[in-house]
Amino acid sequence: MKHKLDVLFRLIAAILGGYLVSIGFSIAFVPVLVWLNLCSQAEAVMVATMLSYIVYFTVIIVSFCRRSPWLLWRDMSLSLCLLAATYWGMGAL
Amino acid sequence: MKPDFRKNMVWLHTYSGLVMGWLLFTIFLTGTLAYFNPEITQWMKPELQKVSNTANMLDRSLDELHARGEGASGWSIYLPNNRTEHWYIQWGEGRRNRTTLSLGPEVKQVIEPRESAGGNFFRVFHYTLQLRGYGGRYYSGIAAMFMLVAVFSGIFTHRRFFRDFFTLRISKLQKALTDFHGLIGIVTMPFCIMICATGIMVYVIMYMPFSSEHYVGTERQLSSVLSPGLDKLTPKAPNSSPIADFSEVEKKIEMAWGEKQIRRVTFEQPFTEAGRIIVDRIKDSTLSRQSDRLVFSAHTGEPLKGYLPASTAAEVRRVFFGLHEAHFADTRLRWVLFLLGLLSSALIASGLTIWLVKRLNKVRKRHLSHFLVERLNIAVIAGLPLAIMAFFLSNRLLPVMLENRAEIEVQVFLWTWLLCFLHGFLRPARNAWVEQLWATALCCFLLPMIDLMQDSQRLLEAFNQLNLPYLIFTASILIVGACFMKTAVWLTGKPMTNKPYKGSDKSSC
Repeated sequence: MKHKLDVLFRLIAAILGGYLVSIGFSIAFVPVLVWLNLCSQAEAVMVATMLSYIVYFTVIIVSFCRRSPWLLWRDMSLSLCLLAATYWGMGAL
Repeated sequence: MKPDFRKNMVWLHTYSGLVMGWLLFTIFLTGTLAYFNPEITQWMKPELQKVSNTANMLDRSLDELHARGEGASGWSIYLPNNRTEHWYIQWGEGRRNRTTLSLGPEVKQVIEPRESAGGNFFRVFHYTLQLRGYGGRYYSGIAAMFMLVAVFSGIFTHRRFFRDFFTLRISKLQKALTDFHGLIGIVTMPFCIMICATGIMVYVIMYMPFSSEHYVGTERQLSSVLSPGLDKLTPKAPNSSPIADFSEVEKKIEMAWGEKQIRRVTFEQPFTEAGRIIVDRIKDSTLSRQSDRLVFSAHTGEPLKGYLPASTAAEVRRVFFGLHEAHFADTRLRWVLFLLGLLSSALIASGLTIWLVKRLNKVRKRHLSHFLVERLNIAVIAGLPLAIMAFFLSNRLLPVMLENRAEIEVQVFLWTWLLCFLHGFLRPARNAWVEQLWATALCCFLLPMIDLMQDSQRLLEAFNQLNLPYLIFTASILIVGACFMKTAVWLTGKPMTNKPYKGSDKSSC
């Protein structure tokens, strides 16, 4: 039973958490690209969205490698916070 | 779950493969067939004649359009090329309400090819799954992501590359399958990664719309910013007439691109003064999905300001899209890709079978999941090829003048597949396997015979005209039939599990 719950938590983390983090990345990375003068905003949207797949993929793999679900959720919330901070910080610049 | 990276990867490989395996097999097999989309259409519409050497195709198309498409708001001319002999023109209002006419090699000759879903069915089916309004494109995107995860974790599952590559033990079913799986896994890995990564890029903004919605707007708005189109023409009352002689324009096109580079010519609002001609280049020489375009005035034939170049990000996505569709591939490369696609389908199929055989060898009493996996394996791995063959057979056997013929062909495909599901659930496993494999082999052998009986001239003409798509299709079908027959015979004599086979199926049902 414990094993099944563990797998369930990891699945939710991988599929939903991964999607959330990659959405966060696709939004937060746009102002970074624009700030670095790399491309226009519309182009940055395309680039960030395409790169967000890599983030999604990484989260899926990490979800099934972390020692415990708690560590996993800690990392997940940390990265979400980091992305939110980037987004708001860039907005304030 | 124990904190061991490799063990976790093995688990991930097993279950990501199992959950999406059947869907992935379907997508890979139909997608592989879509590599030969125009060639399959050519076979499914045998009325099409060799037209690609006809002279003055553009002027003849224009004559027909002038005679038939008076006052229409749009005209198009689709020229044949080295992959398709379908030469047709369209006219009408908007994109939907259009009349199509296929032209033949003689002057004024009109060809009426039978209505058929053609090879395009496979292309559309492999990403919409015939569920376009019900999220079909999302399912195929999710499946592609699962495949990437399965390939990545597979690297760690089958980690002894060289050892696995050079081992092939064919005496026992499970060992043969495992070795086969490892071998083709190594061969097809780059292909699988390429095809899945480019596949999810096709609908990137549809799968991940949030950034675009936050900053720019809908997918359409974003793409109009990234790759701006031409100014929109306002529909007006007819006040002018389009050019009747295309040779001047053709000369300019040949100056820019060279000979035989035109894929399509579109007239927008040909009967107004602002009307224009958009010429699309063939896709042979570009990795991108969007080939070059030139724009001329429909009224004078003078060059107009063309499309602005798309931004780099949009162009990158187009190249991903183009890599997925592989229009750039010449015949040899296309065959390599086709074989890699078939091998990848076999990779998925063998993976699904291994899951089952491995467990059946260990357990005393079967679980419901074993039963389900066993039956789904039969219905998908053996049933899908049978359904595809039924689709081809229906193309030859349905009356040529039947209404909605293309749709009925697709219906035949879907119903046959459903019957395969039922058959797989009702019969003992081995019988179901063998019977469906035999049925597919039989269909493969019947198809050329039916073709020959319907019109014996077809084959002779194909030899005379060196109609390669037709000949190679027929030959491939016979080879595929032989492979299915061989597999059916091989399976008849093999124990499905390491335990004695006798009666084990019936007791489990």
